Amino acid sequence: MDESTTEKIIDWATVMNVCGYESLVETIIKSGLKDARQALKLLAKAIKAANSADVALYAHRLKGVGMTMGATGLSEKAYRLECAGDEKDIETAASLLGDVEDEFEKVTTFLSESDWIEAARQQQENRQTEQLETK
Amino acid sequence: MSRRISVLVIDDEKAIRKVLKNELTLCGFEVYLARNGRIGIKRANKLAKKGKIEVILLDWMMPGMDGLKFLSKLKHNNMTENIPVFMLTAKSKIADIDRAYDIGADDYITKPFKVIQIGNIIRRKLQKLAEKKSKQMVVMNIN
Repeated sequence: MDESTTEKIIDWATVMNVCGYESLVETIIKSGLKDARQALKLLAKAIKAANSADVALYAHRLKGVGMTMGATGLSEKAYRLECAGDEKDIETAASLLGDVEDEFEKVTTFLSESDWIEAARQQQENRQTEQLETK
Repeated sequence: MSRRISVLVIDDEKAIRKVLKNELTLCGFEVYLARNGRIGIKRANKLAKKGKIEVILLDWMMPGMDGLKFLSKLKHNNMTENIPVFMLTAKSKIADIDRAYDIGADDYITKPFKVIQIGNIIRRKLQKLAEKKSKQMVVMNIN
């Protein structure tokens, strides 16, 4: 994987904050992916049923799982969906679902690479270097 | 070496339960888990009967019985009303925090949190709570 050009899908600093130890990262990511996949399925079902309380609930869960995995883009998009659920705005929720599904797809693709940990770590280092250079 | 503190973690996110179980065990806590409020209530009652529960870490948004419903049930039961409950949730609006305190939460930790700090955070919060309670006892005795 070319870590210099890839978009930030997994924020290494965030995932390390949550996991604490690198040895735990893979276990947590594996479990997080399972949780996220299930939340996404339930979310789509809730939107189809126009059940705004469940939309907010499962979007909130997806936001949380995203944060745990360091998938900050997924988490942000899920948060927008959670807000739509809170506001009982099913139309907006339905229009945001595609974005969330696309982001989840990006996350699974990124994580399917055998060297994703190295790539995420390298992206983090590149960002830190860039920040230092701009100071 | 610090004393082992028994903690019940109630969260529907498996990854969070795993991370907390791992870290808190390493920090010397005795960790019990529940994946939702309904199971949490059963477990809290059982542990309270055995005198084996000192603090609960509670997520808010869970299917079935959510964190606030759990909290209300817990605080209306003589056996469990005095168990400290620390909310552990991504809900971070002031209104949400106030609502949880109104129902009986003893403290509030917002997600995401740094897992390596969680053991110390819990110990500090429990110490603060104990100090607050002992001050209240002194005031009551003076009055």
